[in-house]
Amino acid sequence: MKFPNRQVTTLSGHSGAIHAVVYSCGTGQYILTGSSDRSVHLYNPSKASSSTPKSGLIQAYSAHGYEVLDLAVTDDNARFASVGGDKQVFLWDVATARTLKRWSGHFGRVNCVDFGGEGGSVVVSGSYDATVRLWDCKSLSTKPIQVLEEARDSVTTLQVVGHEIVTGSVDGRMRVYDLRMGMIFVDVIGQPITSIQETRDGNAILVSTLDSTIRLVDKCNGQLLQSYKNHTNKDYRIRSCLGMADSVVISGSENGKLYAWDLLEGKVIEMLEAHGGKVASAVACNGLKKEWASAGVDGTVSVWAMPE
Amino acid sequence: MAYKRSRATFEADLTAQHSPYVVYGTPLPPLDPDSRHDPSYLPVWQQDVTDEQGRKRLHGAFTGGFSAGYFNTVGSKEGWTPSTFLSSRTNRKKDAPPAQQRPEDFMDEEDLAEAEEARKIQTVDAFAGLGSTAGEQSQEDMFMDILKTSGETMGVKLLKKMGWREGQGIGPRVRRNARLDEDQDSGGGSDQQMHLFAPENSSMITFIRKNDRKGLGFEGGERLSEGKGFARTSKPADPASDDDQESTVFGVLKNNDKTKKKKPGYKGGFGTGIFNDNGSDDEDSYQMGPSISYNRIIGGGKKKKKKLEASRSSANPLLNSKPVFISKKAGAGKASPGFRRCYDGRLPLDGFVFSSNSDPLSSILSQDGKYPPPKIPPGWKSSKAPSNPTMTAFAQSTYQSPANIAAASKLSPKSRAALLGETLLPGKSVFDYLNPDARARIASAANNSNLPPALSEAGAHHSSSHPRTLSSLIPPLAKETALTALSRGTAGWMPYAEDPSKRSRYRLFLEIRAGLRPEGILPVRAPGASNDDWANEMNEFAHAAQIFKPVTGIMASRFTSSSSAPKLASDNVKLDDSTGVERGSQLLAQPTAKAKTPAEEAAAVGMYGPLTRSKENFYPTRLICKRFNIKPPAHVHVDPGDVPPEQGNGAPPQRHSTAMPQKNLELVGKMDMDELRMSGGGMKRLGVKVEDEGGGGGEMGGGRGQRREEDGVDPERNEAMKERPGDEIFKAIFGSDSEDDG
Repeated sequence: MKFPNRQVTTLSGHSGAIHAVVYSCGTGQYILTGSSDRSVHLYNPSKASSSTPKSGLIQAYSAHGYEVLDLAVTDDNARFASVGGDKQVFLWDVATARTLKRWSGHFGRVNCVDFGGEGGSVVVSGSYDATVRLWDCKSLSTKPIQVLEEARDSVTTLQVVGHEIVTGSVDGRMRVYDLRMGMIFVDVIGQPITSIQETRDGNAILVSTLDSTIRLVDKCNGQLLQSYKNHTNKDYRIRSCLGMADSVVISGSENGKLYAWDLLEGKVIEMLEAHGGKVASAVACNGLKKEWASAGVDGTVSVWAMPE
Repeated sequence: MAYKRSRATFEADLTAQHSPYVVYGTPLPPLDPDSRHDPSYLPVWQQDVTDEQGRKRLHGAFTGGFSAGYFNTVGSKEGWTPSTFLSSRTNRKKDAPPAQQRPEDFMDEEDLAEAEEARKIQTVDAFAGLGSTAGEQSQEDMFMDILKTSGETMGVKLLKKMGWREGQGIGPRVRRNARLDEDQDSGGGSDQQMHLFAPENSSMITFIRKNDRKGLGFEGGERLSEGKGFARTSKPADPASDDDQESTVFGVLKNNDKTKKKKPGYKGGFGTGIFNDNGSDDEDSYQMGPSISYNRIIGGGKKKKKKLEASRSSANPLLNSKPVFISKKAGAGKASPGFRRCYDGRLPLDGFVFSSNSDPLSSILSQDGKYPPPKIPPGWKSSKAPSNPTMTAFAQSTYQSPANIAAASKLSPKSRAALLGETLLPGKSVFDYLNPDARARIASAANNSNLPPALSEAGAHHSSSHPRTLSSLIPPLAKETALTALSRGTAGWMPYAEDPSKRSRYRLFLEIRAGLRPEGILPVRAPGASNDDWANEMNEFAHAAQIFKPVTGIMASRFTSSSSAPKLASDNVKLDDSTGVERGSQLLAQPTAKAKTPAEEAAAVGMYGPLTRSKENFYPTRLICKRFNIKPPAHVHVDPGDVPPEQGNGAPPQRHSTAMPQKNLELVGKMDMDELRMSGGGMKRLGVKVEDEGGGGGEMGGGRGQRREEDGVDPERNEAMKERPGDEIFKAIFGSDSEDDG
């Protein structure tokens, strides 16, 4: 299997650790990064060169007063949401670089955010206060539409897929809120969850936990389909993702390496050195091209593509 | 509402009223167009169609047009709520029962109001029958019912319940040939099968009111009409019978099933051929008119009439039952030459006569002494003799009053109840345990001799009445108690943990008492124990079983068993003896690891699947469902009008309510944090590696962040809280919100 292991470019410009990296929706032309330097950067990786600093940087969004911990982009790429240490959820207009809404209501730092609903009409945020809050983009209300308080500990990651909200928490439980059925499916993973991503076919969920293991869990019955190891993930929230049409599992590691596993076999197919040996905190895969990006606490984003 | 008049009438009227001076042209309408107190004419285009509440019903396109929904949209403030998608594969529309439509579905409120007006309140007829003139008819019927039955009488009803049907006779079923054809001679088919049939219906005698002026028994012209011909006989098939001619003075003998098919009673007429000759010579084929011979001579025909009567009675056996008037004198004279008296020497009652032929019983009685009953042979013994000799004795003894019998009997109420199989009354009196001496003392002390008898039961228990066997030494224990105590043992905890042999003895005792072991087995005794020691131990076991049986019911759900068994004092002593170090280490407060739920244990060993999965109900608010473009789940019943959507929540999702006080929420969160720190941090505290490279906020992994906090000063944290019991206990005792889900 050929894996995009060629480092195309490095995006620099952040002065702090990068916690979140996402590709824009659709063609995935742009990369959005959130950093502990309290800013969100929009890059065009195709215009960037490793030699010149801040090359490819299109826009810097600054309104946060604390570190930015997670980002989410709407389907039409017109808005994005960012959350972080200031206990607020920011809704941004991409073009004007101004916040459309700022929702406050969480009692702790907000760890994760995602868009949901028709046309991204709901913003879902998970926080250190062990709650998940759903915010309405369409109304002027400052209060959440609903608060999900099932988590017994900090909610570290969530993803909204269709009518389901998948959340992962430090209490070692993955919760799938099925809005259509009105059911919560709680799967005990046993270890604090740092990252969750559902496969495209919606049959399995990739769960990263703090025992240096990534698990692929069957969504319908909670059984373990595959587990992916060899990387180090014991202390930090390290995001993992599925890539290459859900055939590869990619994750960073605390020793700065990047690992790629075969989804079915569970074997490491690629191990890359990056980010100067510092924690590679987040990875993101391009939905269209065979390209992916990794972000590290060194403040850079590495873009990887197929070897020439 | 303006009624329409012709234009000419209107103008003339208008002219006359408002502008009498206008000669040419059309006068202006009245000055105030809004005042329409007078029925002034309004052109059609100015008339408004309103409903009874004055609302405008028709909107023109230029005056607002159609207005509906939320600002001329379908939907509401929050948008359009989609209908549910119904998969045609599983849930076909045509399979679903068609929605029941009522007329009311197509009526608007005016129609409904009309329908409401059209309804009348009235009482049910039967209810109104008493006291209203309308129900006079029924009232009449009511009183007529006393005299005359209407409908089925009770006798008919009873008979029908017993299987009788209309048209059948009453009595046991008769075995005879099937009469398939009425005309056929019944004797013809001797080879026919015999069947059980209901007996023939016996006919009712009816009397016909004579309301014509014809002579008695005359039925002249009616003979020609078949329909009016009275059925007079039950034997129409008998051609030789002549009694068609006979008058039926007392009515008609009706036989329903035969009347209709009866041959017309033509006796003569033209066209009577040789086949009509039935062989009777004295019949005149061409006889005209009734064949009744009138008595023309008074007194002369009496003889003949009597003869006729006699012949008729002989011809038709049913006529025997005809009431026959017998004059009193004649009857009396015929019955006996002299006066007969009753047995008591009196004359019979008026209207009663002595029967001429005496029935056998009365004859026996009357001839007393003549036929005495047979004598019982000596030595004869009835086979029906009671087997119980005491009963015989009772029977033979002279009469005794029940009180005497009760006094004589040796049975106590309890033994009597036992004999009768009654359940014993629960309570026991003190006197049941007293011996008679004690009772006598009490009676003398209390000056009351009316005390219950002393039964000295306790004495019986301990004294020689019971043989002192080993098995009697085993104390009684209810089977359920033993079973529950045993089940507690299987659940994981049993007393006597420090003495395994004693524990096994305890278990054996419980098993015997629970009936799990056969009857005869005795509990094992400890080596070197005397009988008394053994009995004491058994008593102790019984007590232990009573005490240590698990709590059941609500109390059981309120408590959880501690994760570790209580340390025995003996264990500590041993440790102290052996090594002081171990003793010291016990004193060190060690944070107890949080009890793992079964799901967590399963996850720890990698058994993901049904063990680690659980389901809960989830109540998304309506607005969420609307935003996600899905239909709310069935168990979410939130009226969208109840709470403004900006408030966020509908009523039922209690656990998601934002109405929860913020402080409380934070507190709970902190407590949970503490718990997690206790569980996770306790184990890893020594191994925490402070990562410097991350630089500030680089780490936000939950575990890491918490451990950091823990290392620093945490004002929320209390050392005393380390021993905080599990959350489940608090939940169970103070009620958990998860109970609301059920």
